[in-house]
Amino acid sequence: MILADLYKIRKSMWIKILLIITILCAVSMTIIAGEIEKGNLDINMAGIGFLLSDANMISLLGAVIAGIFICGDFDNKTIHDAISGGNSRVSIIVSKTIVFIGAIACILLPYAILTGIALNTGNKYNMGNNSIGFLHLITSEGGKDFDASAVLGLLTSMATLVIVHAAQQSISILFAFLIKKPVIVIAVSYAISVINPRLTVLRANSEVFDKICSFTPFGGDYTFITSGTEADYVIKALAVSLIFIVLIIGITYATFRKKEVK
Amino acid sequence: MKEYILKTNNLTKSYHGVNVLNNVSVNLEAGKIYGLIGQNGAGKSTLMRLLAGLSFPTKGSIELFGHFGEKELQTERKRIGCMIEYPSLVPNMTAKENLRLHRIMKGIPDKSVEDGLLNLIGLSGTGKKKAKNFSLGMKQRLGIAVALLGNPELIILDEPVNGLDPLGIVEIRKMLIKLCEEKQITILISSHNLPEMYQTVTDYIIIHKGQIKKSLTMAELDEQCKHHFLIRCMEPEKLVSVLELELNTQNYKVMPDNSVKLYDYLEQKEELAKVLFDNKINVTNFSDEGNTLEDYFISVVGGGDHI
Repeated sequence: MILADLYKIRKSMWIKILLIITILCAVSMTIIAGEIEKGNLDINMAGIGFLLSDANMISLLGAVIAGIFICGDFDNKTIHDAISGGNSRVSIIVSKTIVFIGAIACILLPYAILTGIALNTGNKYNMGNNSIGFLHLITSEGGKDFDASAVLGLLTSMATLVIVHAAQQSISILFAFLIKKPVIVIAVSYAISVINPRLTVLRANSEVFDKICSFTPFGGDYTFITSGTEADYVIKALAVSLIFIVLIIGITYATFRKKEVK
Repeated sequence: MKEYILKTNNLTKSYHGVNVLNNVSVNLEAGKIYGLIGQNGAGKSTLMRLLAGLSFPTKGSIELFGHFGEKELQTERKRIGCMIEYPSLVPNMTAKENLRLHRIMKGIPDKSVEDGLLNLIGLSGTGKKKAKNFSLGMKQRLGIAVALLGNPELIILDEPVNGLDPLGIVEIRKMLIKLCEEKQITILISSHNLPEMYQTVTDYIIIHKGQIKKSLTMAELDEQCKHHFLIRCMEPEKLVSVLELELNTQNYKVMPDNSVKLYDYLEQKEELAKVLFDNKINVTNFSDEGNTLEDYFISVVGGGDHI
């Protein structure tokens, strides 16, 4: 199943288009952050910079991937054929999840590469208070000297960010299997991503909610990881994200296990 | 005891309390082509969807290759090929890429099956043409090719000749008959095209309003449809002796209800009636019978209400 899904993605045009979009956004985001720091651009441009950042783009594009990749399979009956061909429903969900995470990592790759290039220049970057994810890495680590251990820390934090983003977007998988309509899946998933930053305010007002959020990839905590973040925290971020993905797979299976495939 | 490729036992499927399939029991033997005949909404696709695992029965059970139970059925489904309602195709892929996708999905390592199947269904010349640009007939053919991947022992095809031109229909028919005869593949096929079914299938399953109305072989159907006089009388023994002695024919059949089907004298109705009258046969029914498949189907599903 995984090989078949990979083959389908490799043959599809949309993954190439999404990759081009993230390349353009990553380049633009980095340029804007650099120009704001130099004073060539007004700090008010930080809002636009954030719109082009990984956190925002992946919220939208992750949902688009789920919409095309999973809902599309319901539309063209590939999932029907997988089931009637003797594949278990759990294997279909797991395969979709693995390839979905792979696709998320693929379209995040330009951000990771641009972050590496930007930090390698030794320049400083600024995006005001709007920096999370890879954008946060650029703005907080820009201008620093990196030794081997710092580079390793940077690579670890990048990998962790990819997993955190993938975990956040994994909720789109549940919606895709549940709703099956790409437009609705994209709308609902993106709405959740928009609500996500607002959770910070709620967390400040409720200790219980704060605790609950800390066990999910949402709430912002795990998107501020840098090369200087302590190993315990990185491990916690990875563990929370991976457990969340497994949980989403479980919920998706529970809802899809006995569902009619029309 | 016969071994069946597929058995369903009192299969029932309800939606919102309404039974769309009601106690359906069918048995499919190896190497036969079964035609599932029914009107729109009769339950053909629902039955096929249940067999394919796309839907779950409300009651009853399915036995595939002698195995039943959810896990076992899932394993046994690797031995079947399906095309239900519409072919499973990715629009932006070519015919070969679509076959490759399904080949990988089914875990078949042999790449040569792709070209072999494309040749078989006559789509080897489509090159880089995407499936979205295919005609309905080409899509149907490709869907059948996908169902044939992995040498399945049972093929379930829902309306496979839909959208095919006459030549395409003949080709698909020949292909299905060949597969059945040479590889002993069992085929369950649904269609509205009754004359086409008559030329393809070996056995008929007539379904109406979610119930199996009749299961019969081609020979039984021919028997049912054969032109004859149906004669009912008070003394069937006397009728039989008149037929043999006075009319010199043995081309008749006494039915379980003591009615007699006479296959001779079809063009001499008046002469026949006169002989029966002269021999004082007390006739209670004397009718000209014999159907086309359509007529027979209509008579089975409830007569004129459905014409």
